[in-house]
Amino acid sequence: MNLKGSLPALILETLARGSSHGYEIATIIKRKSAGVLDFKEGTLYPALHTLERDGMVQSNTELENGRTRRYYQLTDKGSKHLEKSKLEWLKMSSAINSVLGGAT
Amino acid sequence: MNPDLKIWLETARTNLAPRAREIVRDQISEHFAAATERYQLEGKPLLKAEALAVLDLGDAREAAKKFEQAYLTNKELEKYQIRFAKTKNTSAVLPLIILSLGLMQFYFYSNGVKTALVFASCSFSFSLWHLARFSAARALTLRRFVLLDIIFGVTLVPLNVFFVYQTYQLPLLKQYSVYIGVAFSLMFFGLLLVLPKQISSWRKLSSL
Repeated sequence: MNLKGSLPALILETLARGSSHGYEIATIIKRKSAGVLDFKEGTLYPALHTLERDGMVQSNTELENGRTRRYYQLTDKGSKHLEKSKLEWLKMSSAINSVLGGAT
Repeated sequence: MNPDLKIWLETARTNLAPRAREIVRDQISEHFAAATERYQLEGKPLLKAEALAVLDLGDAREAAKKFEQAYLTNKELEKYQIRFAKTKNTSAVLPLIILSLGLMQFYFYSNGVKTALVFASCSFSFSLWHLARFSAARALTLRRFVLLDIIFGVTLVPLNVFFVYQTYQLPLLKQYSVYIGVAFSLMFFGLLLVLPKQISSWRKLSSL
């Protein structure tokens, strides 16, 4: 399914449950959506970088099993933005449901 | 490095600035290693696991577009480096101020105090702009240099335009007010067009 525009919110929601590295974020999104949100993993990093630049997430590197891993955490700004995105999404999805559900 | 991953990385990073290329290489290599490990744990042989991990990354050309939006590109870096080097090597600040003083004196005697004041405002603020850019370039910080360009562009140009407009509310100029209005509008919209691009480049530069 096309994730156009919603990837940042999905990343923020994933990070709201705790810090994660890039691969883990991609895996969690795919698993939680039962594979429906099957995005290309190469596009995850530009989105993460933009979120970091905007102060929504912060990152630090850790050494794990001899490999350097970058872990991302949600910031307060990111948390507020996530709440706003969720409200907008609920409003929009409920409007679409009303139309597609045939409500008169 | 896996040859397929190497090709993917080369395509996805083609237009990125050197530091951005390094960051992307590290992130994608880390991701690739984690994905390969996961596929191997699921029982796939190494070659198959690596092929699947590259496949999961998606189309490299599509990724390249996203990377270029998020990271500083070679083109953006070169543009600022050229401007930076030009400013750094110039010693035009003092001659510019002297020239401004000379021209101000000329305007004072030929057109009066008002014109001289307008000219002084424009020439000194632009001399100051140049001086600030020159100092920033000397301090060897490209980031500060770009930031100064944005700040001075945003404040000086509209300020001078406003000052000139306020001062020259003369009958002769009122006759050409339509042309002046069009010119000011063009300047304003030009600034609106250039500014987001400048800010975006500066933010990309700062995030590296």
